Amino acid sequence: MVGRAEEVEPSALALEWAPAKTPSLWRSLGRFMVRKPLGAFGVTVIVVLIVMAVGAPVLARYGVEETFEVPNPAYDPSSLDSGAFSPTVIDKQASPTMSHWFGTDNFGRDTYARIVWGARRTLKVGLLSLTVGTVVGILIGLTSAYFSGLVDTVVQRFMDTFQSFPALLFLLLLVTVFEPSELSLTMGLAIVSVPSISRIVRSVVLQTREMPYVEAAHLIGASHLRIMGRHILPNVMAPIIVIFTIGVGAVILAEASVSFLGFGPPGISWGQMLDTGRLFVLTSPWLALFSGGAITMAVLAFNLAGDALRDVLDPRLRM
Amino acid sequence: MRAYIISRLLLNIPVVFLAITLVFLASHAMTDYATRRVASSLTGAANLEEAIKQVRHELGTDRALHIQYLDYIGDVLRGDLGDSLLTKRPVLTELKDRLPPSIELGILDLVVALTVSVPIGIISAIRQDSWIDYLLRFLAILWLAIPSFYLAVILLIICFKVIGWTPPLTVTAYHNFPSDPVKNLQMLALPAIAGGIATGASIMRLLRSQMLEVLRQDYVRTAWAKGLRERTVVTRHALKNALIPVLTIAGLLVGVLFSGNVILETMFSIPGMGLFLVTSIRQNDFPVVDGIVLVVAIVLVFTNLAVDLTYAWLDPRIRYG
Repeated sequence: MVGRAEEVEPSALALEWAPAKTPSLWRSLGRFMVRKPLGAFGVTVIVVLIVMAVGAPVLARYGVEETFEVPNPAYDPSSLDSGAFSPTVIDKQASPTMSHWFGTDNFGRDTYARIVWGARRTLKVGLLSLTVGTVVGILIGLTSAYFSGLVDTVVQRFMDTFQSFPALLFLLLLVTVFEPSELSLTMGLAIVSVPSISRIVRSVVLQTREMPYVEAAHLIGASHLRIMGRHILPNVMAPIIVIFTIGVGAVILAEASVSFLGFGPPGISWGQMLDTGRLFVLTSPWLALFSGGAITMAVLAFNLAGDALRDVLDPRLRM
Repeated sequence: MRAYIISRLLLNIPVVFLAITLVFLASHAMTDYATRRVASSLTGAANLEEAIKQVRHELGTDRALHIQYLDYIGDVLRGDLGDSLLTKRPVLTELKDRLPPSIELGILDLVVALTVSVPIGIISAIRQDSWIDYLLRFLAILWLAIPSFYLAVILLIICFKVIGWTPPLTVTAYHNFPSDPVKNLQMLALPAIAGGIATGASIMRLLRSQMLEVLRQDYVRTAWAKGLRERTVVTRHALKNALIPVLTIAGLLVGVLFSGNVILETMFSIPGMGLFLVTSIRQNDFPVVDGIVLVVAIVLVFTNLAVDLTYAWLDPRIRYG
């Protein structure tokens, strides 16, 4: 407009060029829930698992080894039969009732309580092993891809060989050589998860390395460490979150398998409960059904959450 | 093509050595704990100290590590995997006896997996976003999550309630297929179905995404434009190309199948390599455990090589890339 300058409302101008408000965390979470209902379901179950693990003393209703007595229907003080001897008998292999939501197992222990307490092992081993594996995997993938060349090729071959090796066999081998404790199992699972993580990291780093801003940082004299940490690492985070979530599902499955075979660490574990339960599955299937169901739900939850996160964060990883 | 094969074979040699080294490191780290366990189950020694020394000497772990390593490589290359601590027979002989049931279970597993996953993957892809697609995808997600041993338990319950029959759950004689097919399948059917469905889930997902990609290609659109029937377009044009990555996965699944077999064999008392591995671990028979892991590792390395070569043969772009 030529001529006289108009009096413009300053607020109007300000509104035009004001930056958009980034949505609050609750907003984004709500959108995620609505757009990806399966992922929301997965996240909810994960939260339930965490609550179960943390709040086990409160939520479980009973202790892990607590057994229960019920009146002995064959009680007969005058009979010489050993089964009629005591007025109460341990409530073994009971079906679900109000006092035992999931029934009891062959020792008379409440199944629901054992499942709630068992969530601790599942989450502890799953999350801890994958965290360690992710840190190591990021270190290896990042350095190997950044300084590519012979080192990168050798490391890649190494990782490929390791990855094609069946994880269960490696874990069983570790279990024979080292004592089956939570520590050795966690370390074994961490080792097994490193190759796939380092591969993802490596592919992202190889792409990011060619970016102009990396070259620019290099030119103005940024050290390798600074470039890796400040410029390349943030790009790695999104795929890593996805791989981490899906990886927890796989690790939970592996831990359940090892415990199912009887080589898991001592203490309560869903896999070991399933192993016990299958021995009398035809007469009293509750222990097996509920412990296996718990494993399935946990793996399902992490898989669903990971899938949804991947769709949201980085669809390139879609299989 | 020949140059590619030769180069891949040469590249494979260090990989084989790498696999052997990894197994060696993992198994010969004979910790105090492991030696103590073997020693305590090996009677015939005056006290625990004596037994430990004896075990160390027998297994050769009292020598320096690099000497052990060189000996190990030499033995492996000659095919000598040591002797079982229990039966004193060569490990390789013991393995050979246990191989047929595992191989049969693996084949049945793969057959079930492919039979189930391929049609479902195709249907899911060509009817994308229909209610069938959502239902099948939901089922596939469930399959992926469910452990094969849980599925086996559920199938057992269903089998029992519906038919009133279960496969033999305690140790029974194994009849191989030629001698008694009915008894053989009775033993292997349930674990094969359970393992196959669990494995089929990942194949189905991969096939579906590959089909979706291929169906968008120009040559498929040309086939449609020519007026070909849906069945012809899907099978003759799309499926062939979509199956290539699936073949890669199917090859790699040999390793997964073996792990799954360990659990299923233990559950159903099938006298294969998996059950042998588990019993050997329980009986502290270290040479057998090492031997099994080593054999599986080497088989896997060569399977991967075969898969890579097949891939290159099917898709000429790989050879020159």
